[in-house]
Amino acid sequence: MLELNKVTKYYKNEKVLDEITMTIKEGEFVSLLGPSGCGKSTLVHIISGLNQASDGEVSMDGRKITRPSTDRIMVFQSNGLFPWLTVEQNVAFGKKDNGNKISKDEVKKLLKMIRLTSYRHKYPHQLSGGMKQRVSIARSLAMDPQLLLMDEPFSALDEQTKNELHDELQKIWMETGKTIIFVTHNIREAVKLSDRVLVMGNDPGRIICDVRISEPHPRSHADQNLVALESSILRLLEKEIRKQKEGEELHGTLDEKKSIFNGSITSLARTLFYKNMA
Amino acid sequence: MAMLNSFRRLLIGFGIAITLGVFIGVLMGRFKSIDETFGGLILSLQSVPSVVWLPLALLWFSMGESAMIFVVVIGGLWNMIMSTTAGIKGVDPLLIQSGINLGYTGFSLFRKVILPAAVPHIITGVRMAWAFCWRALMAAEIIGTGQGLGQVLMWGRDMGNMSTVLAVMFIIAGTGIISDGIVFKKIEKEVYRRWGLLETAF
Repeated sequence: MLELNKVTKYYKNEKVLDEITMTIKEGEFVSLLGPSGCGKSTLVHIISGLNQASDGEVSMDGRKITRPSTDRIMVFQSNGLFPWLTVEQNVAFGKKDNGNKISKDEVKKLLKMIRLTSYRHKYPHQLSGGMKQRVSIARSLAMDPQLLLMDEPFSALDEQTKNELHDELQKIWMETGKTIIFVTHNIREAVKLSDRVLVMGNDPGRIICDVRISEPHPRSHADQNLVALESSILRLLEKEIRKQKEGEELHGTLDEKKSIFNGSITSLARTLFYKNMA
Repeated sequence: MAMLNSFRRLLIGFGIAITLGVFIGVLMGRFKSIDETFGGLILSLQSVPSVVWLPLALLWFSMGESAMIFVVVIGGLWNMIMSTTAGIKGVDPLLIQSGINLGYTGFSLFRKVILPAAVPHIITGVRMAWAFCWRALMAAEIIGTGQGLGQVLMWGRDMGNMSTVLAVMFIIAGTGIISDGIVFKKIEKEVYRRWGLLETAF
């Protein structure tokens, strides 16, 4: 279980994250969704330990997180594969805490899972963007982490590849039961993949809404319920962006935001609940 | 005979220059304090033609091979240091983060991630160092003693035999082109290809 308690982050004097508090249960697939610059990427870096909070604390299973660990592996947008190593060597690169290497069998299994067995001797530059990202995911899974952090992993990919990888990621998640935190600015992606979408607002970054989606997996884009949910989240975000543009505070935000959602909640019979209303 | 002598000096000097250069360059790339202390100094030394070290070298090592080799080392060293430092400093932070996240720290992180990531830069440095060493050697041989290509060139001058001078010049240029083209360019190209710096995804 991952717990964040009033996590705040400043860059110079600017507040980029404002008292983020949340709990993520084991096995959950949670998306952090928000416009660019809302600090979602910073937040996931803090959870990974690659960045530190200015204030507040992050803990996993009661232990405080202060530095990177092989328990929490990050998948980056631009994959971070080592160009001088083959696909196979990249997947096998990680070093477990007890100093053990990743076994050949595990590597074989993972390569099969991402369907790149025949590419195992290729170098990253010989792969397409989608393949690289699959290798990056396999490399992370090889560490058998408790928590998989994905920082906009698919945002540089074309639509078709993205859809393919969504299906694959859902499958992997269902097979392995990993806890996944998935950062994205793509609403459809968030809604399709996650159990829970944490919608973030700008300036300073904070969670404006916690949406739970109980639709069974695997899901498809065509699901009408998801499409409806997507548009209501879009409306919420548009409002947030407009607010920021005009630089004015909305009055009675709580009621207004609730009312945007009420329609869709009842019609979808979904559980949505609200947190950290500004 | 003259050529063999020259080549021996060149290879020894070049070998020392790149080994020492990579070593110092790595230290400077990793430790900011060393870089800040010596970085400016090395840049200014780079602009000093290496042959002006010859009188000092003759004093330190007496007349002989070591003085020549010293000048060759100096010829390639500064450039090698600077290329290595630039390579180490220029490593993509994302690769370092990935390495740390995958369980590597300290020296193992350096050996497995940072150094390999800097290889393309280092190879370019090696290629340039070869040319610099070659130039330094010729200058040293012309001024200094012992047998070598530079010496032959000077004899030609003293005898007023311009065909000898020109022949030596052709040999020098030819050797430079051939060694660069056959060995270093190929290595560099291979490294760049494998590191994915030449072609992008298909």
